[in-house]
Amino acid sequence: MRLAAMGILHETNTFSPNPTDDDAFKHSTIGGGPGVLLGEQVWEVYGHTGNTVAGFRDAASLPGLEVVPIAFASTHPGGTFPAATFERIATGQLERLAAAGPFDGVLLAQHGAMVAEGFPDADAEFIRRVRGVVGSSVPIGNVMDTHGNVSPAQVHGADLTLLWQTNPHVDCRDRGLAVARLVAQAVRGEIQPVQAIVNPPLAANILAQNTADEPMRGLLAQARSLIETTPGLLDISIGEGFPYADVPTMGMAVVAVADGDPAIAQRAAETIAGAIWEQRQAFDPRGVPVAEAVLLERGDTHGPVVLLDVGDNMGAGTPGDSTFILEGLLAARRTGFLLTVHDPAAVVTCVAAGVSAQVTLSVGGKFDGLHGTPQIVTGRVRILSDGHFQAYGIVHGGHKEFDGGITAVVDTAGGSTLVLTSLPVMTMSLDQHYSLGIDPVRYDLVVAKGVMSPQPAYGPIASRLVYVDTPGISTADPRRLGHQHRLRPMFPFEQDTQWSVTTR
Amino acid sequence: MTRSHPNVLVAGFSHELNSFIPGVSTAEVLAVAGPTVVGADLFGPSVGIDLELHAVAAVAAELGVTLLPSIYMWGGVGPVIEDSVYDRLRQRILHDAQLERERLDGVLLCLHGAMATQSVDDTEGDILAAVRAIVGPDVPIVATFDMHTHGTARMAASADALIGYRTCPHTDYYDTGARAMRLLARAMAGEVRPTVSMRKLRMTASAEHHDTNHGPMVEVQGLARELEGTPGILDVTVFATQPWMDVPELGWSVVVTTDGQPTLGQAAADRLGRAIWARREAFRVPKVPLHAAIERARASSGIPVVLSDSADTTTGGGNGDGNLLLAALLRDPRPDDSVALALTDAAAVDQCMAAGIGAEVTLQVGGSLTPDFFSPITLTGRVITLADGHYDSELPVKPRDVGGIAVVAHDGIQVVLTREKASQLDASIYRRAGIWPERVRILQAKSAGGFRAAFDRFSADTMYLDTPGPCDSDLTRLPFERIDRPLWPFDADLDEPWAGAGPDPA
Repeated sequence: MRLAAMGILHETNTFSPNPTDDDAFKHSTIGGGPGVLLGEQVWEVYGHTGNTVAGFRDAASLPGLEVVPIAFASTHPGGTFPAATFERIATGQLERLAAAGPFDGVLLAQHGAMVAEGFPDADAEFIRRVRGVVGSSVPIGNVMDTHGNVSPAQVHGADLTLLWQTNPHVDCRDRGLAVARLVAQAVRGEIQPVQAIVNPPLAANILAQNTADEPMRGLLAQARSLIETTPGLLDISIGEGFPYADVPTMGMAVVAVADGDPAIAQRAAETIAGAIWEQRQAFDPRGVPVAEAVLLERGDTHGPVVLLDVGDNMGAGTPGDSTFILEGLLAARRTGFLLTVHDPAAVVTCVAAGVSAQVTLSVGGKFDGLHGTPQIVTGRVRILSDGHFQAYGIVHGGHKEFDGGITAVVDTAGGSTLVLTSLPVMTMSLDQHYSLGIDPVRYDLVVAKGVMSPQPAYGPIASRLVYVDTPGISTADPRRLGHQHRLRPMFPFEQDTQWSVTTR
Repeated sequence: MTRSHPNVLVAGFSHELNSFIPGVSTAEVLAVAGPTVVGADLFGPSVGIDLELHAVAAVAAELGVTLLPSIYMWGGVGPVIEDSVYDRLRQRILHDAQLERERLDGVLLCLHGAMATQSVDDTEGDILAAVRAIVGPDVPIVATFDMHTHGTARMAASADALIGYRTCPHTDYYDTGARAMRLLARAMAGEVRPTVSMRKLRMTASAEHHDTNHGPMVEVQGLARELEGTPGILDVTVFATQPWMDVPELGWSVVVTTDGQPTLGQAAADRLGRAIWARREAFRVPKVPLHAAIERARASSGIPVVLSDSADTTTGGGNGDGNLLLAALLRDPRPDDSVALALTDAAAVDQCMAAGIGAEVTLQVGGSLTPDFFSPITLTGRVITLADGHYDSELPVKPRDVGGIAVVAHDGIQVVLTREKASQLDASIYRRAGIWPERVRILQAKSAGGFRAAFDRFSADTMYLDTPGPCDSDLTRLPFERIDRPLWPFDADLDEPWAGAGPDPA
């Protein structure tokens, strides 16, 4: 049995002014190299990671299965794709799929929150085109991100839809392997997958999306127990939704897969969607204000206080140069903090000055005027690095190779440390610091940009993780973003939204 | 002689000779390794944290002893000290002893025991004898020493007690200083009359097995502690000797300090001396040829594999410019090599700094400082990290500065170039250079034995490379000229631990 493996995996923040264009795919800061991979390159770059496609490769060792890597495109989150970029990548993959065929099945690694000019649900468009190449009789299995904006068009465009069910994402590879097993069973005629999707009108605040915490923890447990107790029910996925996309499909979803009987899938999806709706208030929490967060003390604890810069969540497509927390720390005259800023201009200054040189820098707040103003910092250049690092241990999304571009470490006159990167690399691995000779445990306060993605790395060393309610295009409160195209009414925008699984 | 607040002259110097390093340790060279301090600065932070002098100060304060600090020099390890450096130290100490003679109740010297100058082989014996001549026989003199002391008859004859470290890697600087100060206080109070008995052995051994956490030294220290349980014995110290010094009287010694019972002391020293002698074969170091070591590391199921380039031990006198491991790796590289190794080369660091971060460079690295053993080799690679040289080491806990760091990557081989030599007693230099040592397959430690306490915590396997160098564990390969013979292992079939001792009991 021959299966094709492919996909375009991208999380698009439509509020970002920085388009995900051809340049953004030249160099993926979370892939450590080119964003567009063809043929065997896919295995070479992603085979050893924790990504969905690594699970596809794992499937190649199952008896009787041949998995052919067609192509895979992925890069760091960013703004809407220009039409030409989407067309170039999609067409490239589809042509290779057609040329390498025929196949018995297709494995897709998508995200579910990809947006291109002309295609607000670009994942659905791509899946539609894949179906066009292979025809209706070839099973398509698709794995997407926990917080994709999962739509009926995506789900029904494929035969099997599984979402990652962890956030931070640590089960991507497992879900890749799982979908491959199901596709293989479908090809052999052992199962006849049918799907159902229910979308409650609910945008989940990112702060409520950690699957280890309530309300997601309990909902996932309920879904698991439903799978275990319902004959014929193969899988349930809860889609948390990606609020930073101004598209009609933005919001939560429940996808159920059953063997043969559509009613089983429908009932399961409705049950979980109803439970989500009942807990909608829990999906709308608040973060800690900056002025309060910057005063937190490590005290006599085992590790630093880790401040999560929610409004500059690079994993949601922000520029990574927010200075709201830095400004607060400087105003509070804090010492002993460690903070990472994406600021190529400041790096250029440091490189020109050289190791051990004193520098005065205007740090951050430069990309879009939405993430604070530049802060003046004086200090001494301790390290210059090429910015490549490999992540070990459990990493959000299973990423392995990172590239922050040329990176400078500056010890400030105030007794703190700034890590300045040339590329917008996500702060989700302590190996970023280790590769710079920094031991983050020694600091009183460590700032990570993101909400979920830093947690697998920073959680174990933190005496406390704090969601800081910073402004920005990944602000925790979706009401601040000014959506134009979303569903109406929708919670929490319209607090009195009425909805019921039975009265839809 | 018993006063309620006795006065104690405190002074000292620490340097460890390696006779196979070219050059002379001048004042400038020594200043790189550590400070020379006078007066109250002896107890300040610049000497290092938690060292003997700090313990001396703390115990003196506790016991109401007044310290009269003179001068102290921390000089690290290297070639012979320039005569003028020692002359100045000696003059200052003797001047202060002379000046304070009338009110002195005791003398405490913090020494190393392996410092030699261009013309004095035994500076410690020399200073002890000279101070004794000034203060007379009734003022107790207690001195502290490193485990790598080459104990001499003159030291034993001139001091009332010789107190040495009991650990290698040395983690008991503070305890040693405290024990010495307490013993001196008891002697000044007339509670004890410390008396030194020494047994010199006709054996020497490379530093790999001086490690007090593994191997034969564990037992030796255990026997010493057992002897200390004998009534009348105040302290038992084993001097394992810096093996790379080419001086007369080289060899192990056992020192027993008793409360005025030299016969008991001599018997105890002889007993422990025989026990060490009986274990001498266990002190030989199993070395692995370079090629075999690399292959074994590449095949290892666990990582990292630590390769000790002990012949270039940077804390044993090596300059850290030994590049034979790097040369072997570059001769036959593998695409999946994952290696971290440090190398001293100031010019190469400067070239990397000039080339800039991310630059492709072709450098001549290593071999420039110790040409008798090594010569420069060509390294091409990419400059992936540039850093200043400041970091904190774990052993001892100490701020260090290697003057500048550049990391050049040749595929997976990461070469950490340092302007000054870097201690590899622990892996701090690698961490400082942005390399997490747990994550590489092959990790070099230019340390003979001291590295194990830190590296064993995470290493999967450890091998001693069969490389030549100024700290070669195969001592017979080094050009010794002045040592007293017979001496094991040079005279491998020697059957008496000292003249007249008789052979091992069968």
